[in-house]
Amino acid sequence: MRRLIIILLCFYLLTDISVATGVPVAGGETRFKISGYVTDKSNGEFLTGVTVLVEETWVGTSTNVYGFYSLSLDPGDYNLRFSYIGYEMTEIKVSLKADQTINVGLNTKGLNLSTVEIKADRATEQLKSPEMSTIRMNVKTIRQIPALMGEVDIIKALQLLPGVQSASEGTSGFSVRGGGLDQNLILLDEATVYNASHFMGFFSVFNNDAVKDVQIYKGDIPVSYGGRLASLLDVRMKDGNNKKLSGTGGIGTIASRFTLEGPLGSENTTFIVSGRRTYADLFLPLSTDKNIRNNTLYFYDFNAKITHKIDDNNRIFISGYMGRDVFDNQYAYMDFGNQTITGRWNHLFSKSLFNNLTLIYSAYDYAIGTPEGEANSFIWKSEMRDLNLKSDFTWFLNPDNMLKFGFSTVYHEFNPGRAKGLGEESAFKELNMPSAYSLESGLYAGNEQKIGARLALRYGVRLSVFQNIGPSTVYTFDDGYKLADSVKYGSGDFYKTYFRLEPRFSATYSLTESSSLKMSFSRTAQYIQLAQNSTAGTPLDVWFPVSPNLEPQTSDMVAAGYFHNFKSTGVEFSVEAYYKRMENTIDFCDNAELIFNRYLEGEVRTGHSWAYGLELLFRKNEGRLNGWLGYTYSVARRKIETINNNEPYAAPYDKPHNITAVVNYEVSPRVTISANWVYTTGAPVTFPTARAIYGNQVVPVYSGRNAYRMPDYHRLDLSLTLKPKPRENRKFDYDINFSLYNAYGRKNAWAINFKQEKERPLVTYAEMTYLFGVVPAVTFNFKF
Amino acid sequence: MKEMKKSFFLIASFIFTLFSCTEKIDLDLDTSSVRLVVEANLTDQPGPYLVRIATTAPYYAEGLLPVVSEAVVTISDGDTTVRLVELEPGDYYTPAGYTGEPGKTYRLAIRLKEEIAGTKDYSAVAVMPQKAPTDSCNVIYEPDLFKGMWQIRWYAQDPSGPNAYLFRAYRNGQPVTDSLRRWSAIDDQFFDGNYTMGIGVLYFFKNRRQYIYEGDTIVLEVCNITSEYQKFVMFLKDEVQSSNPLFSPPPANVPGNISNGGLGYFAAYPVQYVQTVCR
Repeated sequence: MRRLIIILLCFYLLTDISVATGVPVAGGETRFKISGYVTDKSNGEFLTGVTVLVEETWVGTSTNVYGFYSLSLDPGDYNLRFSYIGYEMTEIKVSLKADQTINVGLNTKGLNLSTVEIKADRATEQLKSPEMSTIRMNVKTIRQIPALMGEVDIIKALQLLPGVQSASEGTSGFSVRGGGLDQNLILLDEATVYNASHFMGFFSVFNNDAVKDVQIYKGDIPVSYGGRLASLLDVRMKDGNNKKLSGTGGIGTIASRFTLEGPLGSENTTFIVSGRRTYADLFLPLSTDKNIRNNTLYFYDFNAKITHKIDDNNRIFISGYMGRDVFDNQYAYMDFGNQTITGRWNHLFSKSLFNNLTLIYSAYDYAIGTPEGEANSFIWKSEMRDLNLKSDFTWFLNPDNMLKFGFSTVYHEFNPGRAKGLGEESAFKELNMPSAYSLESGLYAGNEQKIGARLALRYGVRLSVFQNIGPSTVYTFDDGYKLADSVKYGSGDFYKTYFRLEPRFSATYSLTESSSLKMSFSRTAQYIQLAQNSTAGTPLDVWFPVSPNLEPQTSDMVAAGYFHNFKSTGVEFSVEAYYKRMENTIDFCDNAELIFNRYLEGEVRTGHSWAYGLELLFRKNEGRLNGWLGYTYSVARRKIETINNNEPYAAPYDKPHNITAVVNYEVSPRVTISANWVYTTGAPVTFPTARAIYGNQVVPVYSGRNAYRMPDYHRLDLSLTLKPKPRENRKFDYDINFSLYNAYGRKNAWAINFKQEKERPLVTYAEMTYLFGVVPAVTFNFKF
Repeated sequence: MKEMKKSFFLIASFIFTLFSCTEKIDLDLDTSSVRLVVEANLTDQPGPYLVRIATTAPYYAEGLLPVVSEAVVTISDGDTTVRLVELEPGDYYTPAGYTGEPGKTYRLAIRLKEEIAGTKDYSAVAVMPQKAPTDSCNVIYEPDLFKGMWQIRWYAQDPSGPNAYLFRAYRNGQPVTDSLRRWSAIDDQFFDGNYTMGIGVLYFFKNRRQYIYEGDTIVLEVCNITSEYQKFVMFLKDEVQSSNPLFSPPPANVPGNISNGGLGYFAAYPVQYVQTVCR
């Protein structure tokens, strides 16, 4: 470990020195740098992904997640064009004789939306960039989508994209291209969020008001990220308004939220604080049912961030999140939640070398128990913690090459379970599951390269390293998965190290000004996973690392796609096909015991899995009528030893056909209507094929795993948003949103159970459970 | 462990009952090939003991399972072997006077007249665990929980080392835990070597019309079972309980101890009874 840190530090310092001292850059001719930050003029928020185009040479770049861009050009006069969805295009004339800093503020598009022109620049960038299988969504789009109980939800919006499946009705769990729920790296300001759900999954932990930008990578994950097989969900918090104190909030059917942001002292320091709490429990006392009346049931979120600009070359960001779900009544107690803190330092070593140094703390924990005073009283706690240091460099070498390199190292601590009796009356003793410690590191380098006007490449490699650290007792199992032996390792022992090399490559070839072909290959590795064998998962599921018994999972994916922009209508079209093969895929044996089991690894079965599919997307981002239409055909299979008699079976999220339609229509500047419709093939499920009787009870007998399907799922949601008359300089702006979830009241099966009739217990029947009928909601949103 | 899972189920089911509804549906199911089903128990109480042999039936088949007659069924403890007599079709009984003893290992052998699932021979081995002490029980009524609930509490000194228990109950001489769904099978993972202080082992719910009245005599049957049998009963109970996407693993057959892919279990356990009068 010490050696590794030294190596990483040397690497860090060496690159630092060599670049900062100005090692000559490509070629003999003198080029100058134009660099700077692009912000929203009204509030100073850094804008990610703004296209910067040099009109004369038709070369360009886009801003990174911190709003920074850099271009190197020959001396001369240029027109720089800055464009971004929802903002007016800004042109700046530059006479380049020396390195120059140009910070740009963009104006949001005016109130007069009907005259909006579709600018091709950004769309062109999307076509040309060597990046595929990724979708960025802005918060405005997400806000328009009708939501369950009116609670705008980033993850629910993502589940409407091709290639992203909801794990089950109403849950925040999602599967990307056939992957598991634990194969998604969910980041909030770079910090891993281990459980992104509230309230059994009905809501996600992200408070839309505090979020600036969301991007999901369904594959082709940038080389700077690792640790999960299937996807990266990158959520960025707002930095805070640097112009004036402003507030945003909402009063909804089940929750209210409030966000306050503004400058602290000067324009150079900003803050944002945001909170949300449900108040469904406030209505519980109104219930006539005493059992419902005595419940406590709520969740809250709190986000905060401070951004400070030290000078043009240095900025710091400190952000944090904490959220908690609490449930309490006279017979049980439960709470769970995430906490994250991220500290970042953006530093410009030169006009072309950008660095971000990040220190992250991330934790997840839960507690469950019963009230004190009984023989059965107990409390059970579980927690996990991460401490992460990472440094990411972007070197804008020249307009044709953008290098990225850096490292990351995470110290993981898992405490899967500590239980003890509560109070003197309890018969239960203390029982602790052993903790696990590990170090997960990554070292990467990659380049984005343009070759001529048509070809763009992105290539790189990530070396990931995972080390188990003692103290630990590692159990070994025989061929029948029975406990055979155990080996003890002392404190600080690095008793197992895994290395994986993860090459990633993608290429884009522009066929015409409005179409391109793309392909990519990426390998990803995953070292920690969830002990979960239910479809949707619970907050009680625990993460566990690879070990001498259990090798890391890897995934190789190839994808190819065709992208086309219909300029006349502003519609972007894409079709992508992918094939992915995963090794060391895990599943759990029949009747596995996943919680409070120190021999958990004996319940794991491994094998391989594969998935392929075709995703079609028509998307229109701007205009009075916007939205998208997606169709996905996909297949996901697993072949795992001992499961399903060693025969391949459908992965839990294998839902071959998936159609989503999202439509927003601005009827007038005061009225917007939105609708979305979802259709998916029913999820795979295991049903009985025979019965036995044991203990006077009809017992189902099964043949193959996941051999049946649930009924097909479909649902329509509607919403109507009303705004006051548009007026310049309105101090207090508001809207009222009415929504209907499941508007035509489809009874979508959430679970299917087989039951015995009460009067004639030998007669059995199938019964489905569905969660929601038509769910109406009203939300009042305001802004000042 | 069971306790913890249960409290979580209580919380989650509370949340979901706020939203969920159920509806009977028609669902076609395939039929898989026929397998043998054996239910056999041996205790330290006076016999005769029953070995019931049948085969699986299509899932929606109404009525009892097709019985298997004319099999040769024997139980051996290493020293003596007894042959069971088929008194009712498919029901084989031990001879009078035959009694199980803790600590002994029993082997059940079944030879069928005709092959089922490709074989005529099935067998199972069961070890009868030693008796662990059991002191007493009482019944507590909790009017506020689940709209009224009776809890049978159990007092005993758990011997150190792994132990497993199966509980059933009788009200005024009638079994009230009349099917597997209502049995309780626990292990001592969380109270190993402790006095049980009256942990709740069986529950009766007013809204399911499982009434217990004042003056009723409640007999608690305490069986010392092997941990393999405890898991078998626990998993089988999971299979017959309602499942949902949150906590239910993929449904699966629960392997018993019958050889050659036979379903069911041959269990041997000592039984004790403690009783209380409900006040």
